[in-house]
Amino acid sequence: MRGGRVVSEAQREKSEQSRSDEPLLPGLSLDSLDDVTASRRGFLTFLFAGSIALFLATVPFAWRFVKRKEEVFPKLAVGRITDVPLGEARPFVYPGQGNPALLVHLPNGEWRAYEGTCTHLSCVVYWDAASEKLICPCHNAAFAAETGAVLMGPPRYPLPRINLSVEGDTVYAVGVKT
Amino acid sequence: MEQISAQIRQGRARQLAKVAIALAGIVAAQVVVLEFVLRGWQGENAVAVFTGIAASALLCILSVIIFLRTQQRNPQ
Repeated sequence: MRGGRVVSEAQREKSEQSRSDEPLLPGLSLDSLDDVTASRRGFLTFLFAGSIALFLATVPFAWRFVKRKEEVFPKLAVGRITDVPLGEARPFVYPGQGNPALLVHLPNGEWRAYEGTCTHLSCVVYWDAASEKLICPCHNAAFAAETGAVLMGPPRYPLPRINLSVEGDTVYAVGVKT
Repeated sequence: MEQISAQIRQGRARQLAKVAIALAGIVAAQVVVLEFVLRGWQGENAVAVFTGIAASALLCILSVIIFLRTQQRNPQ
């Protein structure tokens, strides 16, 4: 019995010794710690470069706000008062050809105009005369005709409003509210 | 002597591991900040965008300091 225990303890010591000698991973031993240090140094450099890249990636987002302040919007005749009856709307493009917009003649006689793309995924919105709301067909979002505020659906931001000026019997778009 | 050298190298490797964890944390925070900036940009919220850029710049400066300190301590 005792002899067997001595043998087993000796075996355990031997196995522990061999375990401490063997590397954690194949090819990795105490002698190759310089390699480990070198690879960690490479990883640090990678993280450092990533940090700088992430900072640089945020900078272009400021350009939109810096640029917009300098932006001058044209004055564009959108239509005549008689063209759009009360409770109806008319699509137009403003400020550029690639920017759909919507002119709304509210039932109370006031005029409103909004950028015509949904603030969710940029689908083109349309005027629903029955509900008197601006509707995005992509996700059934609804915007209030008076303010452009989100009434329903996934958008988180209201429709950007276009400033209007009524001169004589003509409605002009004169700028976008930022 | 060899054992001391090995211990020094192990200590250095451990220190580099800690720095790597710190830098990884900074990078993760910058990813979150980038998402914050993106949301601000989508919502045309200039305050959110500029706050995010400032936060990202501070984190970037922190990573520069940590990285340069590592280089000074372990010149190779």
